[in-house]
Amino acid sequence: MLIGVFVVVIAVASGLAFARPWDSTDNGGGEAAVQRATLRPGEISLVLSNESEESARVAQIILNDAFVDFHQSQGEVKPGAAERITISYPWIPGESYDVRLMTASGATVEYEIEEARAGTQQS
Amino acid sequence: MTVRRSFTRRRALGTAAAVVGSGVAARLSGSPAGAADPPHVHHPLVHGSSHSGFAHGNTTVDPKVNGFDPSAVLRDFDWGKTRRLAGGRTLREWELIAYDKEIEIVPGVKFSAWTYNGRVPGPTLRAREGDLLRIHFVNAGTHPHTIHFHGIHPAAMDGTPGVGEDIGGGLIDVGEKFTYEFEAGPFGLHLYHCHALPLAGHIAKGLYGMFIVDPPKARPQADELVMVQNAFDPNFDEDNEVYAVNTVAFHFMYHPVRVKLGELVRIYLVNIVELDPVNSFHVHGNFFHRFPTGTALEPSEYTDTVIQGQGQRDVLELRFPHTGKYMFHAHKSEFAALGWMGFFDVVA
Repeated sequence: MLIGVFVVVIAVASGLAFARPWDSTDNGGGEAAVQRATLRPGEISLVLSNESEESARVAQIILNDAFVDFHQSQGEVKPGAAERITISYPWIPGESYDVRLMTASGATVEYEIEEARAGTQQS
Repeated sequence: MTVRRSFTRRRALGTAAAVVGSGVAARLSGSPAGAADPPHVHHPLVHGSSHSGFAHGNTTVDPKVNGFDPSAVLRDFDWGKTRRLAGGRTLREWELIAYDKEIEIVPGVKFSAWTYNGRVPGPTLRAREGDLLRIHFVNAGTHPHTIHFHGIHPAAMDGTPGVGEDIGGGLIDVGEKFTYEFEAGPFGLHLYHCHALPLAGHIAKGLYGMFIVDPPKARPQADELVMVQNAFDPNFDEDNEVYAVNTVAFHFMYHPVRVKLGELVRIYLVNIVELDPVNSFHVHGNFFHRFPTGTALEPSEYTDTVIQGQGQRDVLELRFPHTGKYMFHAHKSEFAALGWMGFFDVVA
């Protein structure tokens, strides 16, 4: 069974200052989450929903500790909008995949496929 | 629904996007090339492309964005402002200014770095054994910093917080200055870095550089290359996501290091990666002589892979007997796939 779990990316200037006292920048972001994943042979397709009040852009994707090629329909995801992201990847049925969508600030939206199988799975 | 086994540091901090303001919106959405970026991102080590799959383009960082070029860093040796003292001794002086700067570490991803002189790694300082060195340090950053040099020198010149404060050394506060003065030695390949606490944080933010002390009789003529193995943790989860040589991931995949057929190539290799215990360097289609720490003129090993712990360094010498493209990369495959890989391009 394909199970995906979203992880939100958040950062708050004050929170970062508390957690990393040497970091005084305003890194941060809104909330974004992967809503569903569809696996086809050689391809993993994700739908990223931006539920924050700020636009988001996926700059890079790390899949199982490797940067991977991907294609996105628009690039910038406006508040309230969703984006389809397609990763070309030779996934293997039954194996697990850890996907990290990295934004321009370096923040990551994380998604895990615990047991890959062809088809669509809602988060 | 199963909860993930781990979360980013950012998530642990909770949600409060409303207080962040528009500046953060720009960070999230911002891309150096703007909205016109094509919605494709390609990498060289993925299905459908190969080690030579860098023809896709649009995957590198424009050096103008960072103000330094990893390719230029390779052969950029700073011998300082030099003059001969009475008695014949050479004095070398540098000014290193610590300040904060945002840099791009992999295409489209910015990192809030702390730098010496606006670059990561900092300038490669070079001297000859026995030279008198003066490094004028200015802390123009936002946190107290130091410069700690590897080498042999008096305690007050060590750049360690709490040591040498009676003469203005130790931890150098924001807006303060201090001049480190000592004799260059022993000859070899060393490094310098900030030693303020938390130490891992100050180093991982970018405050480090290479410090080369040449032997009294120079090494044989060679095409010399500076390779600083570094890494970044842009989501603050205490795990590096981006690895490189000279800061920009995959840079040398798209801009191979051009060397000449049969010419002696000397690589000054340093590992300054935090959060991971070891790093490594491997070259394809060739072997090299290894001079650990560069402190001897006879090699200790003839190999194609060298392992380095944090702060460890080696001088490597090799000649390429064939033309063509030869990869070099961390032999820890995860690091390679996260950016630490490149090519030599050997030309006749």
